[in-house]
Amino acid sequence: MSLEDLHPRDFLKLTEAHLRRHVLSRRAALAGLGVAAASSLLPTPAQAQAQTPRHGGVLRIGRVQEPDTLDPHKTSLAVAESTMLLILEPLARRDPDGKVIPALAQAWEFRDNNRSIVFHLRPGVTFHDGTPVDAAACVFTANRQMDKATASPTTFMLGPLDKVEAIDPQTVVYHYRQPFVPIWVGLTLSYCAILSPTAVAAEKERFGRKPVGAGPFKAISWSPDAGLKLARFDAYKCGPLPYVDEVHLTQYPEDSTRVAALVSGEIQGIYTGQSVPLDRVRSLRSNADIKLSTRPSQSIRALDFNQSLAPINDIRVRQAIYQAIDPKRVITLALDGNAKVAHGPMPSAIPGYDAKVEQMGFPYDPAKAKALLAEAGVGSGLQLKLICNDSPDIRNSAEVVQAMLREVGVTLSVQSMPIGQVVVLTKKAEHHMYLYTYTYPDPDVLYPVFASNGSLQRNFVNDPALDKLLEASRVEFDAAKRQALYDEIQETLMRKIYWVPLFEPLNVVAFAKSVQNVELRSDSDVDLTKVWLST
Amino acid sequence: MPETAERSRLGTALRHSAKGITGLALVTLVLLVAVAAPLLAPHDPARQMLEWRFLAPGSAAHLLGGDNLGRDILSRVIVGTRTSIAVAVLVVGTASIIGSMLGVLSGYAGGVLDTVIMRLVDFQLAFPFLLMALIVMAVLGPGFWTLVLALVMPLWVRFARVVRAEALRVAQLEYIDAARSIGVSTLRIMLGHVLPNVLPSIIVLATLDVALVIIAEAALSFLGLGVQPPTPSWGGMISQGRDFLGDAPWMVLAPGLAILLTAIGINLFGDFLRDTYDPRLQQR
Amino acid sequence: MLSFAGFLLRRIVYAAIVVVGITFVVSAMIKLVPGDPVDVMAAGNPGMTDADKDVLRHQLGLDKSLLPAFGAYLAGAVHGDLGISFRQREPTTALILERLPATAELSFWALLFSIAVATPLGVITALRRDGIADYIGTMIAVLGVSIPGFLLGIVCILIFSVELHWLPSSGYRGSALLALGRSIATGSAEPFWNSFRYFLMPGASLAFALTAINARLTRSAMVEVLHQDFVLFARAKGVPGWVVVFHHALRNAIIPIVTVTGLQLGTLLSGAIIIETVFAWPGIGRLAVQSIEWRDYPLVQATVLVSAVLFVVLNLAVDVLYRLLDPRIQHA
Repeated sequence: MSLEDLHPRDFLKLTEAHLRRHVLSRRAALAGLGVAAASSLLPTPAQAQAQTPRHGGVLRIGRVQEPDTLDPHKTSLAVAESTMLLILEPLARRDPDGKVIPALAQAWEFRDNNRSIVFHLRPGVTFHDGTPVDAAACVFTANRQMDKATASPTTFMLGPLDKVEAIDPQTVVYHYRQPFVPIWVGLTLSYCAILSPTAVAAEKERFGRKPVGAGPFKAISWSPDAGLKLARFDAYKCGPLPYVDEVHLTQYPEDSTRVAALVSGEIQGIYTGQSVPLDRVRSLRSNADIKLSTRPSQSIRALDFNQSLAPINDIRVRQAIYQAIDPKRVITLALDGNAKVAHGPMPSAIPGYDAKVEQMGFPYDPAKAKALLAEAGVGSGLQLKLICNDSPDIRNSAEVVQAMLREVGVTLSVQSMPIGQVVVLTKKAEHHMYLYTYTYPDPDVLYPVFASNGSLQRNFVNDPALDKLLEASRVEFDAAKRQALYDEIQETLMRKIYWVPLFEPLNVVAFAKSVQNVELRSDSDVDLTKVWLST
Repeated sequence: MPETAERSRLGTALRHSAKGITGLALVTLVLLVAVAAPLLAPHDPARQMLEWRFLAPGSAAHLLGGDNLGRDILSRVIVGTRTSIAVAVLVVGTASIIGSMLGVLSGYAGGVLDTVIMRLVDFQLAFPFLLMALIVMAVLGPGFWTLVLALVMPLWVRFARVVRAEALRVAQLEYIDAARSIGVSTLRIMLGHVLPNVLPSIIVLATLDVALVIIAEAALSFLGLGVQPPTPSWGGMISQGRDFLGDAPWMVLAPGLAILLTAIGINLFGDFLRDTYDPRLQQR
Repeated sequence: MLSFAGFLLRRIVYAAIVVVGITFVVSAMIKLVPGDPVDVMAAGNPGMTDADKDVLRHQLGLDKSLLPAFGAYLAGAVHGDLGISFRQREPTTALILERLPATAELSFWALLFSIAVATPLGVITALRRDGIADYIGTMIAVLGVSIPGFLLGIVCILIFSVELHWLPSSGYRGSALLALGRSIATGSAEPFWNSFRYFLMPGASLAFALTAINARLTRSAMVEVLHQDFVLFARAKGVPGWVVVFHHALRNAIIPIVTVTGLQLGTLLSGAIIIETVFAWPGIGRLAVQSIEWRDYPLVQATVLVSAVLFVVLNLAVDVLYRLLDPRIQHA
């Protein structure tokens, strides 16, 4: 049965299920590691719950990165996406569980053999500048994103979108060239949020500095010295109103300074990305004025083998390296314990993770590693080259790996460099190993990372059987069959030792004690509309 | 001047200068450590032991404690001496020779040569050296020799500028005019009169630059482009230790003191040399 | 004075050559760096395929060749158009202009701090050669060159912000010089202090290394001048000591110091790259580093062009000053 023949109601369920799988983290499995307030001096959760939320106040946040621009059609940066989601309103949003929930659109249905979707807009909604949110604004926004002159790096999120048509001011239709199951992945992100056409026309290229949408906060100002200042949009209609009056977001590129600003009370929170340095978790934990929340991330760090080079193409050498490395040691030394051991090609927090890989790894055994190397005829004196990016935890991990390989007689030269360079140099296939890092919410990541034509593939394996499985996983929409394919892929990858899984880092956010109702989501974001400040 | 007389003059001067002796002693010590580093280090500087992690300094086996990756800091400081001194000596040596030669040439010979060299100087100067180093490192990839190249490129210029200015001034002095009038060749004037005259300035700059280069390596490490692991360097150790200043200050203190002692030694000795050899100071 | 005009004209022509040359070399070099802006954008974006990247490359004009593009660039630069940033999609001139004042004023205060400390330090150590003061002065100077700016900055933050709560840890809250005007007008120190306190730690961290270098240079220049005939003669004539030191000696010793101060503008900007990172200072130093990281070619070119123009102009001023201070120097 093809997607076009599916009943629109069933197709809708399929698309929603896709998003849920895409977002949902496996809460049950993480119970032991879940949200944990660290300090014993904190009020108990019951006490905290008893307080009634207070309105007002200014919340100051420090982050390691700053958005490049807040024009959703001109960025692909994660920190820009999460920031824009505060200012701009998409047609639909996703809740922490990955459920599609109404936003600017209050209802929708598929038609034309599931090739079109009709959105019914919420009535009486305006943008921050007073312009009404109507079908014309949706058409304008989608056309702008698809326009070649815009050069949007995220056009691909729209999938096979053909055109957008306004039926009447409250009704808009998105026409696709074929049924598009991952439709919600892009449409619920701020990259595809609806923009005020009047503001875009007025601001032109400065729109990225003064974005105007219909989100819960409006942008007041954004300058390099004062940072980004947001104020609550009191006419917000698409969800609960935020508690705080204003949010100020400031960039602190240096870890020590960011933490100092939090400890000295200049800011009240640090979150997003790697804003809380894992090295500092220990000292922050002992600070009574700070509370930490941690959660496993949908990230993995692994050693990826370049199999176009000898002797790495020998499975015995790969197994030797596997057994020469103790991931627990990497975690203790390089991350101060703030990670869990990884076992497969995917982090365990991605739905679709196959727990069977946990039985497939090889134990840490340097003696066995040495024996394997001898058996492969490379003995001691083997020289290998590793490329990694230059973030501190990655560099430290590489140094620990380097030290462990030395114990079995392998000399590893480590080259760490900025990520842009890593991406290109690893493509040249002149390295033996690459300290691979990725963060992704969906098992579909296996395709770009491992398929022979995958855009992120760096192991240079050409394995037709594996490719076939990966291709099949992309078009299979029966959930059980798809999972079976994912299981087989993960087990194949581990059996052939295509990489050595190292660890899954924890996501950590740190807030001052006065900040209440901090909820760390699986995508490492905190919903600032729910946060309130106690006095 | 006969060499022995020269030596004895230096020896006499040294005996009378506490500064000179202290400086020489420190410089010698640092050089010895750099040469004999592998013999002196109590442990393998790359060895990581869980129980050495954040070990406080003071124990007999680990005098300076352990770092965040469980390595012996004393051993790393000792082996790092070799890296940091090698970079500093190579960079300052190359830069001062190239820079001084071009500077003297430019200042004394003048004309087209002066114009060309000075444009080259302007070129380098108008370009913040850290930016230049960043781009060079990005093109060639991080590594020891890239680091040396990236630091020589901006540093020779300081020598050239200062030496040229001095050469211009010296060239105006009466005795140079006199020398020229009695037919002393240009090359001889440059080597025999201009260079000795600018030597004090070169020494001051070079001594300052040794510390500067060590610190520049730290700055590049701060930006993630220093000496690549597992090779320890003082700058790299400081850069790595900055995140732990509150919990494990010894990670920064040890390499910091090493840089300080080196800088003190070389500056004291440089002062002494300059005071001894400055021809203008001696005449009176 | 005709020769002076000729000298000035020649220097201006040289300056233009240098600026164009630097911009060209940087444009060429940055393109040799592995990875283009699209690679960097796609690095964190597993959904982006190679085909998506090529489309974006074409749309951004990355597939154009270097030389014609450079010609067009120069033509635009003359009219003040330095291109649009690939990363921030805004005119690079706007990005630079909103950050330049922060860096310029930080450099100004750092230079002021360093001269205020280095000159007396240099003079005293020169006068009391081999005395206790000389030793202490030497130690301070050496300390200055031995401590990386970023380390000093972080230590300052830990002491003065985290422990003592005296100063803000980081950030920039407007020009202190402008605030000084307001303070003088209103007679209240508050506007000035509110801006100036943000300058204290980054300014001092940036000035520390310069102070060391300037103190050493002042000392060595002074030592030399103090032994010259005219100074000895003045002393012999019975001119008071401080007049000899300040009128005769320091005035002559200042020539090499002025030379080096001109050169230090480059050093300041290098230092600013680090200090701006530590203190979250919104200046062009960090902008330049980020533009290299992002392979934002127009922004790299623009930051380098602007800093080169600034440097060249300021050094032209130093050169003129130099001629005025020491008329003996005749440019060939």
